[in-house]
Amino acid sequence: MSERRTRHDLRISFIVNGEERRVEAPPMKRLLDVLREDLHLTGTKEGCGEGECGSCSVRMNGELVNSCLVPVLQAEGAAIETVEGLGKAGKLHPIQEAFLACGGAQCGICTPGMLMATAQLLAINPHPTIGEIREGLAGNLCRCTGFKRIFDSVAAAVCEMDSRTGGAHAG
Amino acid sequence: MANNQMTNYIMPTAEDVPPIHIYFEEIPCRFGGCGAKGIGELPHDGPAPAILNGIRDAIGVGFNTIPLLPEDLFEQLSAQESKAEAATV
Repeated sequence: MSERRTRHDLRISFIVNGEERRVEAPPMKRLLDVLREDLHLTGTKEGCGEGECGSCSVRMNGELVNSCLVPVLQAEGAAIETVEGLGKAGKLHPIQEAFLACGGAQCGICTPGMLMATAQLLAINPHPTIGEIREGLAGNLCRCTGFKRIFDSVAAAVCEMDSRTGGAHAG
Repeated sequence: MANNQMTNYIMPTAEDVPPIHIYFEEIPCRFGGCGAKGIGELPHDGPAPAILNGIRDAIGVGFNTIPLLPEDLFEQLSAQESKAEAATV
């Protein structure tokens, strides 16, 4: 959409936030750029661009990936979930509510990645210990918060999601 | 987690940060209103004026823009000299 198609472009189709999407892009274009430029899903942020910081984290086929390290070719047929798929203004996901309530976002550039990493963590492990929260977010760097409020946010999200599903959570 | 440079220093991750407790140690600053003083992100705007003031102190010519290059100094000093010469003639 954003660029004219060249003879090197490939037709890629994948599922983004539950919707089937098709793009025409160079095969080595970063998934990050396809999401932001071709699909205008600018919630996913570029931090370092080299897989260090986790700002560009998205979920792909149930795994957390750094979208700056994924050539779009690899995303053919994949199910991608970005922060836009988590919740919307006025109807936020409990994880987003928790980050808002606990001050888990400060400057904001790590936030979409933190949210996706949290979503991934809680999908695998709905009741993480503090150690597991730390481990689950270890691939996402935050320069502002010192992480404490992010841990608090994740813990609050666990409680909130428990109460919504009526799941019993000891402790 | 010791780092010796700012270019590629290693940041603490979620697994590295120690528990953080915050205490307030109040030492009023005599230059700020009600003792207030800015803290947190260090401002970068002090050094350039300090250096330019140092140059003015040394050569008597004031500059108010950066970057300040040797050519700028030369130009200003030459202009001053020629002005001084014109005055003495």
